Amino acid sequence: EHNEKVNRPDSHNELKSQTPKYKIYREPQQGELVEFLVAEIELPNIISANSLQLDIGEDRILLNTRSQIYHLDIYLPYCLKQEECGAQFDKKTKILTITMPVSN
Amino acid sequence: WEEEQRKVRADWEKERGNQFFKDNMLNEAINCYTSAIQLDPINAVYPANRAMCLIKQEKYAAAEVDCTTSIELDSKYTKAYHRRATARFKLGKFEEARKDYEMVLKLEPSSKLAQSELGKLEQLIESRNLVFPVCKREEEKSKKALKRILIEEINDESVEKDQVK
Ligand SMILES: [Ca+2]
Repeated sequence: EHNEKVNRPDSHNELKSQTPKYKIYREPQQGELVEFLVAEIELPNIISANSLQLDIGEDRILLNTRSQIYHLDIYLPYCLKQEECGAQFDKKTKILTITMPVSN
Repeated sequence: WEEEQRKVRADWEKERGNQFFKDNMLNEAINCYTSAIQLDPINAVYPANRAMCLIKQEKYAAAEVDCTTSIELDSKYTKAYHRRATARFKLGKFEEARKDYEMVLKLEPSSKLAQSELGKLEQLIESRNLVFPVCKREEEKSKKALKRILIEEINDESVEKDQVK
């Protein structure tokens, strides 16, 4: 019984959502024209994409998780083509990759 | 016999070139290495040495060509890859420079210099195309509605196993 208590994650900490580590790249790397952005978001505590809620605005990425483990809300200096955005969650690496075409 | 003679003369030109290089007489050194290349065109050392001078003269495109020649003659010549990486870096060919450093480390895994240069290069490559979020005032934010994005799951091992069956 004692061990069980020690191993149980602190439920208070779980309620406080944290900002995940992320990187956003532009493609192509060089030149004035940016065709699309790729965001890579590290979500080590996520098991399935089912617990993720991703919304893309014209200039915004909003990510929430069902158990409020992670929260990300950022604005970007680009105009995104919302209709053409795609997202993949890699269950092995726990990385959410979002591809966002940019309108110029 | 004549071929042997030419090789001996080529080596002698290289030694002169090395001395000029040490004395920072780069044009003289280049002339010696050029003679060495003409006398013995299949020796990988001579174009690589000329490349070393060309890099010092900031003639990076010519240095890259010489390094490539050297590598074609000896695909395991570490110095040629290292110098080509230097030249390519200066030419802004970062991805190609990275491949050369990786080759140096494949041939010489303990090379501290190549390790640190590759590390710096990778940081530079990454930072070049990084995009950072911005703070926007309310009136700067887009008024368009958010769109819910479907997230596809990949690398699901249990599913992959099922598909194999
Ligand atoms: Ca080089």
